[in-house]
Amino acid sequence: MAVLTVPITLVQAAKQGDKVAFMSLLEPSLEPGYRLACGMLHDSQAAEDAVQEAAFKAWRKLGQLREGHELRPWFLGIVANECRTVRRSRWWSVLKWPKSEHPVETSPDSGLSGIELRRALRRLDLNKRMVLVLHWYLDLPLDEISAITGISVHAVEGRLQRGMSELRRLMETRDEN
Amino acid sequence: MKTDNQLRSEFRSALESVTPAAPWLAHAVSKSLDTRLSTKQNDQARPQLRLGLNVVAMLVLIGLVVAVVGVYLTVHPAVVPAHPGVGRVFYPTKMVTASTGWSWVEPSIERRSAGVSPVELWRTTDGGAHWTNVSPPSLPDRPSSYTDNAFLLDATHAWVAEASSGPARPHVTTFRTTDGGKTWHEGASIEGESPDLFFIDPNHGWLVLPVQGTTSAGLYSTDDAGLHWNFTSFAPWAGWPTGNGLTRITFSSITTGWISGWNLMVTHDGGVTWHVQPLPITLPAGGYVSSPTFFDRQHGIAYCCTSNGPGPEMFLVTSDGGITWVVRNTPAEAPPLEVFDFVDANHGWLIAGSNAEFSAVHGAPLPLYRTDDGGLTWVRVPTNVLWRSPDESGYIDSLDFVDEKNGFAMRRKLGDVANPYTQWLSTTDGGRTWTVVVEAPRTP
Repeated sequence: MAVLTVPITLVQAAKQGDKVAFMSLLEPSLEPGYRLACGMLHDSQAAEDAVQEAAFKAWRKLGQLREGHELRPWFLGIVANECRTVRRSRWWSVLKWPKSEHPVETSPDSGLSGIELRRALRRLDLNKRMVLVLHWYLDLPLDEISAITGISVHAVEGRLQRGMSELRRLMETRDEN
Repeated sequence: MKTDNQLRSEFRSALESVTPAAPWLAHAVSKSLDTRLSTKQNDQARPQLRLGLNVVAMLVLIGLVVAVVGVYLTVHPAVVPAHPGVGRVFYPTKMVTASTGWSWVEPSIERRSAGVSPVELWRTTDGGAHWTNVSPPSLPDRPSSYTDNAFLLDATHAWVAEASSGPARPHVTTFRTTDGGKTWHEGASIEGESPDLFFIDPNHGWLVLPVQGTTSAGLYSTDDAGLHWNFTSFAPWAGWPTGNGLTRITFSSITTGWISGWNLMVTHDGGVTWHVQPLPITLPAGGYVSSPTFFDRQHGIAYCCTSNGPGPEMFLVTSDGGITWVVRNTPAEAPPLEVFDFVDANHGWLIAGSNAEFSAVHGAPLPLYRTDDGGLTWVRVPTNVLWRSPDESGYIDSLDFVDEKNGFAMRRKLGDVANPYTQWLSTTDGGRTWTVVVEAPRTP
């Protein structure tokens, strides 16, 4: 996935309140943002809500985006924070997890093993889950994940290693059972 | 056993099945934006004003609290009665002696959102009972600067590489302390990012700045403790996924060093030229060699070989300065390896457990192993600690021995459990008896 460099003129126009310019800038990042939110929340409606909320916050915070910097990591960072916020709320942990597993299965090859894998993924802490989704699902390079998560590339690598090992063990434990 | 590719493919399928196509997303976002912006502009002056006043009052209150705390912290150094990694995301600690050590700590998400540097350097002088934040100050003219790498040479000498997106291009600035973090000296600033540091003594070191999008890195060296950096070469530097997470630089002398990764590269001229290091094994697909640790100029050890998950695991040991390497196996009955640490060429410890042990009944501990002959033989050390109970998601974050008797470990319990915690433990008898120095719930 190529890194999107922000055209400076569009950023300037968007910062001056041009919503069309803002949407032009944002649109290529919406689909990755939605995939990130789905990967984190496992609920497409909640993911869409998170992306919409992130877009609104991006509009309000656009002044913080430095000219010449990449928009996508900045926006995905906002989406990531939205996912964290959703996950922290009590209603989500109480109500959403059990509901989300049943109606969303659409692919014939994503039956039981998909459910098991998502269960294992949810047992990972948020930080490891985040880098796994960003790297394995969105195919983002480590330096961009570093920019999104606000930690060093080395730290991203470490989380990725541990996340993969932990996920594998959780899956294998279930397989053996 | 699933291969990496199988697991990755399953991972993708599992998430794709909860990601239905959303061709309307851009339209929905645009419409939502319109709605919220128009709502904002509607005649809601009173609620907004009330909200605004509440916010102002809240900010004033917060300001007062921050000011009071700030004054307090100015008078009282930031000493905390716990390991700084407890309650936060934690990087392995490097204990130098049984009493003095460093810890590289990532503050909580909330603190980072508030503008705190993503990584802080902390130090203890009482075996981990109390810790002090000794991070160098962020550069005032680069508000986005943050600590990106640290090298901890001994009890008093350390370096921190501070990365900054800066007003224009990203730069890395090194800081050095010779007094355990009480004072820091700013070194030269170099264009680049994602730094890796290594120092062989208080004066001679290397700084690696990967060239983004390539498999090479600018290698700089210093002979004045990092005050000035001299470009040395473009070194091979294969990052993930073409390399792996353990790409690091290390030196055993001013001239001889290695870069780890898919293979091991060696230099004998201080980093000017690099060659492939001959090894006694052929690395499997996806395998890697970790950065070697040298205990003196002759004796060193590296770990290999799979990129993740269980698989062939072994140590590579040299006793002739890296000219030749021999294989030392981990305990055969106990893959996969969890953590390990060697204090010299002979004495090492590791915690490992088979899949059966991972999923065993509650109460079955992961075994701690010890070698006194450089990995030729391993014996189980009976301990008083459950290194991981199998009904939890957790792991040993670090195993850090400072000599044959004294060591430390960080144990974390994670996942969707009611009260995750972190434990910082110490031993004074080579790993038989462990005492919890600090235990605390994780920050919510």
